[in-house]
Amino acid sequence: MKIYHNIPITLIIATILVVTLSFFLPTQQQKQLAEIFWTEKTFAPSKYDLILVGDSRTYRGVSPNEMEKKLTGMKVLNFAYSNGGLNPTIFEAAEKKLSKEDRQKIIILGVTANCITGYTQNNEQFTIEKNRPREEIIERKYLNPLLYRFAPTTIDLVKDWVTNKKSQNYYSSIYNNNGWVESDKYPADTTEAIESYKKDFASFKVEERYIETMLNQINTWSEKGILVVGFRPPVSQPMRELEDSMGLYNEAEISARFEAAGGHWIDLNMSEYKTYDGSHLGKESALKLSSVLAEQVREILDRIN
Amino acid sequence: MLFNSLIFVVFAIVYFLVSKLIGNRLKGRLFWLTAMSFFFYGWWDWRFLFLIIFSGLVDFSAAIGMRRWEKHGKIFLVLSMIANIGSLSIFKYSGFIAENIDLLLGLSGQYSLAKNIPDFFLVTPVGISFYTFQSLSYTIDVYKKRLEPTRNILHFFAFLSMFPQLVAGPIVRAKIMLPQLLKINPVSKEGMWTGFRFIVKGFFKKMVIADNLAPIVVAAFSQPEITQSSLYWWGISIAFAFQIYCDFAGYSDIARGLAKWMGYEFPDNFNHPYLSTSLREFWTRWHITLSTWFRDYVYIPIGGNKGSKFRQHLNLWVTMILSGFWHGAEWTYIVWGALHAFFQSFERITNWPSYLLKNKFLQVISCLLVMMQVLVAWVFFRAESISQAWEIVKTMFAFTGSLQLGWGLSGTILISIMILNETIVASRIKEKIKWEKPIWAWSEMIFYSMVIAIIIFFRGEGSEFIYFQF
Repeated sequence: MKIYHNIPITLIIATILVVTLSFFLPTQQQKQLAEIFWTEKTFAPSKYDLILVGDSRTYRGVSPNEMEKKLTGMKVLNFAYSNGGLNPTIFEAAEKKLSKEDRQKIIILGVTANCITGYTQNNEQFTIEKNRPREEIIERKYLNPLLYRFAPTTIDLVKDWVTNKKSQNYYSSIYNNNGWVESDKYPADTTEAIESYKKDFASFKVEERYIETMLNQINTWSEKGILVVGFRPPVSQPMRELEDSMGLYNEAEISARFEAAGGHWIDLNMSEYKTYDGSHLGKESALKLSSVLAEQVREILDRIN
Repeated sequence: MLFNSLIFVVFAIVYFLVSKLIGNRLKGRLFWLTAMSFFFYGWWDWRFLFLIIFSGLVDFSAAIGMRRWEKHGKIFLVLSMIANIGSLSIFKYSGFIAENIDLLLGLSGQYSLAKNIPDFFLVTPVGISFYTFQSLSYTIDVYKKRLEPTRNILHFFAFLSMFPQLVAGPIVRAKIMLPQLLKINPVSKEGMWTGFRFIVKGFFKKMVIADNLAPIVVAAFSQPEITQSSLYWWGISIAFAFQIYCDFAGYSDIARGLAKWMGYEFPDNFNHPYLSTSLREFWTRWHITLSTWFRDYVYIPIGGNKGSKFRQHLNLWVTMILSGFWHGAEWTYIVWGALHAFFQSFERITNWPSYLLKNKFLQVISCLLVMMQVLVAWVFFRAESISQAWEIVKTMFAFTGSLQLGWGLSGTILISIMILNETIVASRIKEKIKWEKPIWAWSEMIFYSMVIAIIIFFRGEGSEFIYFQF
């Protein structure tokens, strides 16, 4: 029997080659894992008891799994996005993720200066994820988890691999379940993010109308029996000063009004946390913050019940 | 639905499995092909299905009318042209025409024509230029009595909407496709292998070469100012030349491969155009189905090579400018067409390629000179505006600045692969090999396995095929 020029045999050889290469070829798996992560977060089912809302400081800074350890029996989702503004778009989406079961529901807002400026009110990343073509959503949600091992590589990556060139610097992002991006950077530079924030705050300040929107939502949620908790994600001291002075963020006033609207504010000792760029927490600090938040939520729950 | 998406793989598997079940039942095959083609098109935007159905119904009826009332054939032809060119004008050119009328008459605000066009008309339906031309060729051929109209509507829609070539060609004429659709063509093992080769080559061209060159080209053309050296812009125009070639030829190859598997033959759409030794030859090798369409339905009807020299040049210019306009409602495309007309007119007057065909070395020179003209024209085709294109062309011919091509390592490797591929074709090594011998057959199978592995690991950022927008 002639077996040459046979498509199945060619495909078998190709499969062997591809599987073999997938074990040692350096690929861009991270990108695909990120795609899966954002799609799963955006289209997460309505089954959570506690939802975290905010921007990148919240999704890099709070681990739902760590919180679940302290809040036994609760399901936690980190529903924060890059440049996530606190506004009706995200409030509505977050509320939909809450479980329909008759249990205490909690929403935690990571209230950064950025979240209540005009810069973030489009919720661009969330909107892009939400409006992706269904074809891409299907691919990201169902096929990429099976195929991410076969993520593409680049000629430059292969060149570095062949020449055994390893970068002394790294920026790691590990995409965990339930919305947390475990992040770290080496070497850390706690002044790195300052410049870009300076640029943003030159044009965008904290605005009363966005604070009002947030407070109205806290009120509405409280009336529905949802517990609303707020906190200011920890940053470096210079970043905090920049946000207060240039961004016009007044934490004392915001926290007081937050509580007056029916929410609960958690005060954090920022010096206990370490950021790798002045803005985002490294893994250890993120775990610590998650643990502290969970303990505080537990205390609030004990207090009100 | 893109060929380079996983959803298409699922679509194709379903199509071929059910086709197998339908077997030789002609009606069933035509129905299945039409239904799946509509699904394929509707996946992008179902609202525009009405346009293809409308255009098809008009042409199907017009062709029958031409035969039944032969004396009034012209009326039916005009009707078909109004329907096709009308929908093309509304959906593809209305914005451009309105903007230029606004500019000419100084209209603005509430009187602006462009601002008063409904949003729906400003969305160009994918592949509209392709299926409109395909449909038009049918009615023109029936009118000219080169073709008998079909009276089976499924037969007609299977031809018009056939999914492998629906959105980006090749433009397959009714004369070639309608008879094929009525036959049951069993696909031999050789046919399957040829189809497979076409598909793998097509994916390689699109996903590895075109998609990896795309970021280099996009980065260059999105710069606000043209500050780089001459060599940089020559390098970028070469990168774009290979990007667009591999993008479009890749699509055509995949379409031809799929057609092979379905038991049909599509005409060749590209024949190594960058090996041409004259512009005239280039246009017999580049986007062949469109070039021949314009030759048969525009150039020849308006006079072609007949009449005075001036008239012949005029015919050439009209055809080339229309061809540019076909690509898009932008002045840059029109200038691209005009530049090609200019280069061809110059070639006809001076007949310069004939002096360079005497030996291999001079042929290479001739090939390079043609390539230079094509590259300059590509700048206009790709640029964001005519002024940007002009700045780039001026820089290209200033011969100043650094000696960096702007390709980086990946661009250099990808372009080298394409140059090597074209060189192998030119040297005709492949023709000397007896592929049916086991050793070569096995080598070929291993080669294609490696190509598949390369496609999987070196695929670029998935993007739409450039020609979808046309």
